[in-house]
Amino acid sequence: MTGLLGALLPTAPLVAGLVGLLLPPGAGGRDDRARRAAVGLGVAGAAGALLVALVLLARVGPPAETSTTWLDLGGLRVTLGVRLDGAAALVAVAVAAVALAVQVYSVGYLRPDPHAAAEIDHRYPPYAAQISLFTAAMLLVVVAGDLVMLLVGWEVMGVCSYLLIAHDRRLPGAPAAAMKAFLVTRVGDVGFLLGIALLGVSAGSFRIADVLAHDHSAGTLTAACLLLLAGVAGKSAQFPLHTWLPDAMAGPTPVSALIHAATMVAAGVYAVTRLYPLFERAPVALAVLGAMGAVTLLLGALAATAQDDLKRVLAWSTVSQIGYMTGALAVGAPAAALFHLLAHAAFKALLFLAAGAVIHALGTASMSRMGGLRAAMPVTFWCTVIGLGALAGLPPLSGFWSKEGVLAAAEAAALHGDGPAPAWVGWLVWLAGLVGVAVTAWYATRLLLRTFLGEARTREVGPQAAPAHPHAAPAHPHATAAHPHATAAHPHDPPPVMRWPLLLLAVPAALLGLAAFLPPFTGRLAAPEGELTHLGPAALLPLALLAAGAGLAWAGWRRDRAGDPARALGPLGPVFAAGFRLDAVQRALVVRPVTALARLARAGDERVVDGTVEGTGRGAAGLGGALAGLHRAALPRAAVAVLAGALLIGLAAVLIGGAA
Amino acid sequence: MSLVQSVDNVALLPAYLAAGTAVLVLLADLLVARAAATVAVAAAGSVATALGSAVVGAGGERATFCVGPDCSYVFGGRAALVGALFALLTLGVLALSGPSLRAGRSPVGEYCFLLACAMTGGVVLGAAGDLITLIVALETLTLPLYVLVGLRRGSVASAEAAVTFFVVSVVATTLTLLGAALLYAVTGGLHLDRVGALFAERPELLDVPLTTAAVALVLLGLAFKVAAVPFHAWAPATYDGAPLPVAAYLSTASKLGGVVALLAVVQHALPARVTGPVLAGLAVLTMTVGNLVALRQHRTVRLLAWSSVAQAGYVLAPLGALALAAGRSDDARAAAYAAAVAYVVFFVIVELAAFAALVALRPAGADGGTVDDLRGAARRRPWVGAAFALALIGLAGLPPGLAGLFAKVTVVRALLDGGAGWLALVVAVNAVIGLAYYLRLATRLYAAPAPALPADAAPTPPLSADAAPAPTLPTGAAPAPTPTPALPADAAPAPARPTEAVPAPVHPGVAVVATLAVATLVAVVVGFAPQLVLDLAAR
Repeated sequence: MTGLLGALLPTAPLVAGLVGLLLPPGAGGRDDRARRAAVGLGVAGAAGALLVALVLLARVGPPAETSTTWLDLGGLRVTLGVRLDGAAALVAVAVAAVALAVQVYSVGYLRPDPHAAAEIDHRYPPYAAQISLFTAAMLLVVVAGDLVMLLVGWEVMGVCSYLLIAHDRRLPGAPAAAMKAFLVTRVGDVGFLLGIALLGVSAGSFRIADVLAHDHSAGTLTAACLLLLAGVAGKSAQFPLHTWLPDAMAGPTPVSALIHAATMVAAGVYAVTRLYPLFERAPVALAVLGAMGAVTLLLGALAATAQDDLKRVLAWSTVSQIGYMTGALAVGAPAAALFHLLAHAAFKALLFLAAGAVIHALGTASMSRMGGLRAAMPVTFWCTVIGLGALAGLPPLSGFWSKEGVLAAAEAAALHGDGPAPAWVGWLVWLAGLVGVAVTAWYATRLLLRTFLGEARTREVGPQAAPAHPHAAPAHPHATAAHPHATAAHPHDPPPVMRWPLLLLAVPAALLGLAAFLPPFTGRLAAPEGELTHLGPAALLPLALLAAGAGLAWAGWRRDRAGDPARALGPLGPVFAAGFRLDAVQRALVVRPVTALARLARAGDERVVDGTVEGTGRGAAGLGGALAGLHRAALPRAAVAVLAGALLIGLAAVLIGGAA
Repeated sequence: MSLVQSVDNVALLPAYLAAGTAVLVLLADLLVARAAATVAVAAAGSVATALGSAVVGAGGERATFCVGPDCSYVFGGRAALVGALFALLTLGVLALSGPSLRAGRSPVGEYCFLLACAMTGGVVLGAAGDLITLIVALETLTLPLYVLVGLRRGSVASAEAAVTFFVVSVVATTLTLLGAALLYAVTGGLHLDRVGALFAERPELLDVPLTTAAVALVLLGLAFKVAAVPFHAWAPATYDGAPLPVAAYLSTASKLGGVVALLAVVQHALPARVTGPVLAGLAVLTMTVGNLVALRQHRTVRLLAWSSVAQAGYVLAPLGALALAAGRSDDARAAAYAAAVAYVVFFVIVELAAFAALVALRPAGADGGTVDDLRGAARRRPWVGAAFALALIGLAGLPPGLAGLFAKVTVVRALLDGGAGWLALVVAVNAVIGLAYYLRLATRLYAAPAPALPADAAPTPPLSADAAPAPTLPTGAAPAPTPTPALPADAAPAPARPTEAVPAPVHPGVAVVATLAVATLVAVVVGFAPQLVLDLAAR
């Protein structure tokens, strides 16, 4: 029964997505029926998945495994199966809930504007269908009982993210950002694929249960885990493959919410927890993971301090928060990582949707042109406050408890050597995590102050308002010059269809942390007693850091209400804003050589390969023509061919075959 | 020996059902004289035959008409598969015939009767246990087709196709009969198993040149039925001249019959040492010539005809592995036979889907037309177009058409198991050539519809005339009316063409669409669960 439910989980959005793809893409917002059908399908698919996930969460017991052989071609055996445990059910609920919120929110966000050019809302049906497919792929990753199935979901997610990020064709940055996301994650996926192949060959089966039970040799295990980490780094935006994530902000804001909160970036962390028993036996891989996590954590947090684009602040904060999760994994606390994943899913989805509401109202994502929105948008303001509080780790909001769990695990690993990895990994993660708390509090406070408090800068146009970086994101479609009246003049809270997802997401963002005190919840995360609830004096340290970070930002803002607290960063500001110029490094080290190589390969291809191929093609076509010419006169030649063929082949058989 | 044989009527039930269908159709046509009733009887009869085959086949192997241990009629698992397939193909072709029958181009009673007769031949063929039964069954399958091909009233192309088919077929049958007679002269046996056992017992027989000649002649005569090169020249002309549903029947059921007959003699009777090299040669020739010539075809049905010639090569290829000693071990042989059966089953399903889509896209009773006539068809009718594209991609063996992909994988694997890597390489190269024209046709479906330029329309008639059968009958000597005099629309002078370039929406019968849907669905299902077919084929 649970097996069936597990199979049903990705099927519901999959069917909705596939049917949705068949709808006419909708021309110019006039095709209202297709749009309504697409909305219905998308919401129904996500709601169905949420329902199944909730039933599953209620029923799930010890890890259960169901599988059938799909195809047996000689030595290649592929199974179809699901593997369900409490963690899978919890993540599935989070995925489905965020997907549902995004589907509902998108109805309002991508609404055709009666005053606008009809072009605004083109292609809603494929958009909703792609979100459904994306959800289905993530759910497939969540329930997959076979590494090959997991890989299928993993890859489908990559494709869907490509399509969704590039959804708005009119943004110059969107196709490039989509291509970048696709290519960068693809680099990691190669490693992931090889890792899976290595594990499968070593265990003689791709079933996760078999792979986990098999006694791999130490070298194989380390190699496989490191290869898997490459894929994890790609999907979960870990250093050095994190560069795609901030650029992916070119996608519509609900898509950012979906990618950042519960799906794509969570997939990497989830895949590691799924295979955690293997990583536990490979301390080298965990050490790499820990170093990666610590670097990512600080890098993301510092980069977030200097962004001017609202969405890019959130994007970099995602990078940083995922760093906390991978850090927790590295110090041997997968339950804490999953807990933070769930809490992050709630508050990051909330933050993105709230940011979407702001962008929707103002028509810009640049914080230089915001400010003073608290009075005009009270609902959005309070939702953002809850989200940012959770992000910074303000008690008693969810982020406090989950981050506390991660820090406590890191502390234990650092001070007592409790983790599976060496103690220095614990120190690294712990210290990075503590610094991260202060930096997070700083940029969260800055975001809140710049956006909602102080003077309204909405009409301000000047050099200061210009985007601080070349990738300045995109104003929302509504902000096109075609209808300036829609922007800025009267910011207001979003319409109900966008407001309700916000309000409902605010509940778990605020309260999910308290679930750590509920035994059914901790039991499903397979957390040891008391691991997730630390209320000791040790919790005071992060709180003090939080207060320091927030206080600094506040102080900076007090001095100059119109100015940006980020100016305090001095010459470091632009470096942080550009994400430590890693994009430039990437361009110099990877893109340029590859382009040069490609040019060379292209020349070779055009001169040598194409020549050969075209020659072959011409030869084949010519030969075909000549042979066709022989077949013009059907009857006489056919009869002659039969007789002659029989004579010749018969003779040949007698002369050669007889002698053989 | 008793001269009174006990006859196992249960084993014969599918054959009875098929033959009964033919008789009932004739009676229905005579007594009720309503087209719908006749077609309904034929359809019900084919369903009954399919069910009968499945039920009898499920009950284990049954043999009858036995002389000692040798039986002339053995109804086992494969016979059941073949019988059921024949009956279902007949049903499908019957459904495809709806539009052309309604258009009144062919007499309904005769049409259904002949189809049922052909089905009878096919059902018996699967169970044939001796050479005479085999040849008679094969002729029963083929004979009605001569008439069916030429049944289109007033069509010169059709008559020409029928005569071509008839003459070449008679020549080929002569070869088979000659071979069978020589084989009898050498071995004194006609039952397939007896001949096989004799060759196994007395290997010195193989050193007699006459044996080799006899074996080669039997094989070559049968190779005609699958349209293997060099016995293929009838196929394009015949397919193109025949009504579309009959062409579908020729390329599916008739081809299936040829493969079954070949398999029967190769598997049971003839020594692999002789058949292997002959089949390997035929396979290479067939694949290569079929694919190369298909590259240059402009008429849709001709293209499909040449492609089905090439497909026959893929069917023969696994049997070609018998040419090598490594391929003659019991395991490798079993794998090769199973691969050939599996391939032909996959192929028949996908090919029927392709023809069904073509029938659905063309005006009622029209012929296949040129490839350019299909330009943009998938934009006008997305579902049918998608099914057609899926079938074409399946024939090419590309991933979305999983059925075709697994078919090719099966063949290649059987070849590699049999140590015939070189033949696998030939298959792979041919698959690449095949892609060129399958994809050309598939992309044409999605191409932007041709602008209705008179200048553009003008060159079209010469194009089709170029690919059409050159006149071989004295009456067809005038080039202008040659392509399809039966179709006023097609034969109309050039100025009339622009109106045809944007055809009015075509409404094929429900039956055609249903056949297309079922065939596509089956193709998708076996594509996702290839193990089903592989298991069935290995029985």
